[in-house]
Amino acid sequence: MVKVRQRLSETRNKINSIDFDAHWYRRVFHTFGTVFLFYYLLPDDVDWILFLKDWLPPFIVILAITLEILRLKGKISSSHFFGLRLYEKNRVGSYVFFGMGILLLLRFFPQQIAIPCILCACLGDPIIGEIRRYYEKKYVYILGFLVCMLFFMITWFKADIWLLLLVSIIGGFGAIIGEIKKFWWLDDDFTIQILPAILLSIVWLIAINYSIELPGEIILPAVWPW
Amino acid sequence: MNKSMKYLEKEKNISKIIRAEIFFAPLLVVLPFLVGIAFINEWYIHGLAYGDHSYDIELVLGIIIIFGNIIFDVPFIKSLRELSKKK
Repeated sequence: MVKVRQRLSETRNKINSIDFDAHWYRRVFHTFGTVFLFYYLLPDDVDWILFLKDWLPPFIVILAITLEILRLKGKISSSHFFGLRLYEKNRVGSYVFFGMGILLLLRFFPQQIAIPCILCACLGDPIIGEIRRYYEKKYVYILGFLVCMLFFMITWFKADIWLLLLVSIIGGFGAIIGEIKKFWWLDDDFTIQILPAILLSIVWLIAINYSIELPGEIILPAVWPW
Repeated sequence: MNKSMKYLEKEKNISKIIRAEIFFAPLLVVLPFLVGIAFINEWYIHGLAYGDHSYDIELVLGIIIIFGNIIFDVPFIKSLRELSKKK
């Protein structure tokens, strides 16, 4: 009996240490997503770089979807996917949603909208997650909103002050709603970036319709060769 | 005891998980740092050198990328080291 208890205690300690480790692994995996902003720094006038810009992001997402299909069908063990949450064992992993969100932003949205939304998913999400561990829900919403709003303020600083405030409030609001609203079939890693992007696209179209001046591109492509 | 607990109970599987994590760690830590440096470099070469303020945002983004990653890299590397010591 003592042996069984000791064994159980050891196992619990091991599992706790793995959980803690996976927690930071997931956070770092999120912040790693900021490297995709390099996409905008790549030159637009070199054929092979243009080819990579066009095909590498969808290739990565297709690869992730394929791996996920194989995992869900049981062809690949879930144990190979370190950092998966328990509820992701039988549904599509959040990393696929994360990648799909970034791909959609890179391909279909202007960079003025895509960049702050990517920052919300890559940095805002883990920061909100950490706030959630230590503070009550109401503080999570307020601080999370302010963090996401800050990303929109930084990237839209060239816009008129009223437009800057409008975009920051709508963007921050969209991101925090995308983060706190949970669905079993749709991950918050997707909604935190796509919901503000959709809301800002509406603002963008209205601004174009009324000939309101919008800020230019945030990141200018580098000149090749570096 | 559920399946996942049984899986983790086996020493061999814990080693596998740690190996997978260590394998990806350099990429997860180093690549964002390099991208941040690339942004700051762009600002330095085209912005600061020519007094062009349209590149200032690249400096800000570079700093955000580097510091945003460092904040989470430090506890990640610490936890990795602790786990490796336990193993």
